Amino acid sequence: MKYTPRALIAELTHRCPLHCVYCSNPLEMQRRSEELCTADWLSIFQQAGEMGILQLHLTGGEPLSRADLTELVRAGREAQLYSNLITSGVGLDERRMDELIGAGLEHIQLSFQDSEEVPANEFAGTRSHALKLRIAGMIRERRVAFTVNMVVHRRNLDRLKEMIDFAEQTGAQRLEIANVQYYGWAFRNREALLPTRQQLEHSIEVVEAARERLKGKLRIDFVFPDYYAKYPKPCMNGWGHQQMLIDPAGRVLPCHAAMVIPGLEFPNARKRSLHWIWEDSPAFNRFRDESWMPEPCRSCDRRTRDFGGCRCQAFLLAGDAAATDPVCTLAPTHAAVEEILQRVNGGAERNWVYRIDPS
Amino acid sequence: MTPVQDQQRLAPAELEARLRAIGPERYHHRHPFHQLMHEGKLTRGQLQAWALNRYYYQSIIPIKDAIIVSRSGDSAFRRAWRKRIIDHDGDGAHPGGIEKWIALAEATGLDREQVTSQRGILAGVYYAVNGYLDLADRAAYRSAAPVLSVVKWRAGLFRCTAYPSAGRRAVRPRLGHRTRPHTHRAGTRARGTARQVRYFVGAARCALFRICLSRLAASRRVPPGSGERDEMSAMERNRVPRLAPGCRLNAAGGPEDLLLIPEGALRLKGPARAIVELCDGERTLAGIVEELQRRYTSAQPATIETEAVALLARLRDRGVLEYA
Repeated sequence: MKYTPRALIAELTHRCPLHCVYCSNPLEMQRRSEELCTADWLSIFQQAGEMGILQLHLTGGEPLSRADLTELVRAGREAQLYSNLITSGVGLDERRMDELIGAGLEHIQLSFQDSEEVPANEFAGTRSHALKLRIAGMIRERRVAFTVNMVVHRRNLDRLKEMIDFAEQTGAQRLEIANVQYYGWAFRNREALLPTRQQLEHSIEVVEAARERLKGKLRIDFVFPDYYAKYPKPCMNGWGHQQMLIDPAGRVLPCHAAMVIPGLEFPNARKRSLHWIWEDSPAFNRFRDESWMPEPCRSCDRRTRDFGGCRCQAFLLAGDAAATDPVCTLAPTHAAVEEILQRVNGGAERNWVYRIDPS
Repeated sequence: MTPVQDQQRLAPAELEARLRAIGPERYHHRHPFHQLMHEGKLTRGQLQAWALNRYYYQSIIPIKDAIIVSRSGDSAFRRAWRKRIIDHDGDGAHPGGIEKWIALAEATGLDREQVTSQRGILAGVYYAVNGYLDLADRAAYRSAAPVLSVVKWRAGLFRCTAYPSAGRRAVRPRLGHRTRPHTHRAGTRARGTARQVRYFVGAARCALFRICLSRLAASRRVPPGSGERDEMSAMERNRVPRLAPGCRLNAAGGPEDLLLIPEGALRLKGPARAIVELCDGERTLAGIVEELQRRYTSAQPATIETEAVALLARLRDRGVLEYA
């Protein structure tokens, strides 16, 4: 089976002015001194374009923390890549936005932590909400695609309707309502962040009503908290099937969380060509086809749809990256997820822990 | 309406009653589109679509009347009927009814050339209107002729609060043309005594109403009032589509044609790329369709229009296309 990479997620830096309690970056972050230089990224984008990659996701950390971002965007465009900037907005002003768009930036995904300032700043661990609002206004005035990303969890899901109204007012074309995914720092805080079943069911109704109301005006994508799912998500559309991620230090991974999986060596783009890494590296081939699958995946009709779920989650929850994703109700380890959900749905609220920025 | 059965023999009075019953029951003023028009609930684009398509129907009326004249062996009937053609076409010195339909269409914001070129007429309307001509052509029974031109219901056609005032003025005098055909109804009544004629006229009238309804159904499209995008109409023909911010085609000549959108890509098949390329922010929808019809000469022009418009509507739904 031949796999063609379609998207490159470029984690330009792990530095970030925000300290979100659900940060998806790995527990061990790369320092500034480890970061790839401009020339490294230019070479990577060139190779990506040649491999047929279409989408470039410039993310972090906060990608605006990189002073060479405009140059990187230009290089992406020259390599025929479509550039998406996934940002908190901190570090943007009119001039820089014009530079980025002039260099070929096509889509800005601006994150919000809430529709209300006080909780938004609390979740972000930074006073950034008011600034984000100004940034939204600047984006709307320019010819660039605009997505609002609203991260939702136990402490704000009850305000979902207000958050959708808020997103509508920003003038974005698209709203991504993303339930926190429990990796990185978010895994550590998951019991404080997981919504209750009741909250989740209500939120789905809210989303459906909003989709109907805003049809043709605001497109709403909803990222489900998969601990509550019956079957696992088709994580990354399959390990090594369509996407690759490069971390700030140049390590090439099939997804942003894969570093947690022990025993895998992720090649570095400084040393190896992207082509070799994609085609031939053991890490990318490890879970690519179906030969690694245990039962019940191996004989399951859904294996071609969800690929056995998420390898990182299997490791985090079952201690084995080659296990069926425990969120699957058919998984032998599913009890572990049920146990967490029981605590979440029965117990008191828990506090979370803030993370600090890498130096 | 109970269909006229062969076994039935209707007395002249009953025949007339049956014929007259068809109007209230089946005439197009009952159609939801017309009802919305009367209530003034159509969007401007929908009204334009109606005017454009309705004009096409009006434009063939003299042809239909000429067919009818050609079937009659009665010189008095022909002389009388000939007036209808003049009513529509004018006599060279005075404009006829068709001119007033153009004025009406102009009053909705369309231009004359666009209306008379007959571009953009819905395929369903072509079908129905041409079906009407075929029906007239096949109406070998001379005496059935008047049935095809039964007086329209004024209320149904013209009471339209959504018209711009100029349109209302343009239309009103048109009603004057309707007085003459009434005089032929005596003829209808006289001829209608023959049994075959009774069957025929009933069937013909039903067919005519079916055609009228199909014409309306074709121009109706999406239920009115559901937003601006149901207007394939004249209004939409003048819109200038372009790709939305953050949407662009991939480089040409690659292994596949893709429309790149935020965080994704849409695969374009067949002529889809060419269609999207024409959405350059300068061409109107009508211009795009014309250009495609010029390029793809082996395909039916109507098919090209339908498919191009459908593709662009899907892209608009997806938020990929916008109007400049």
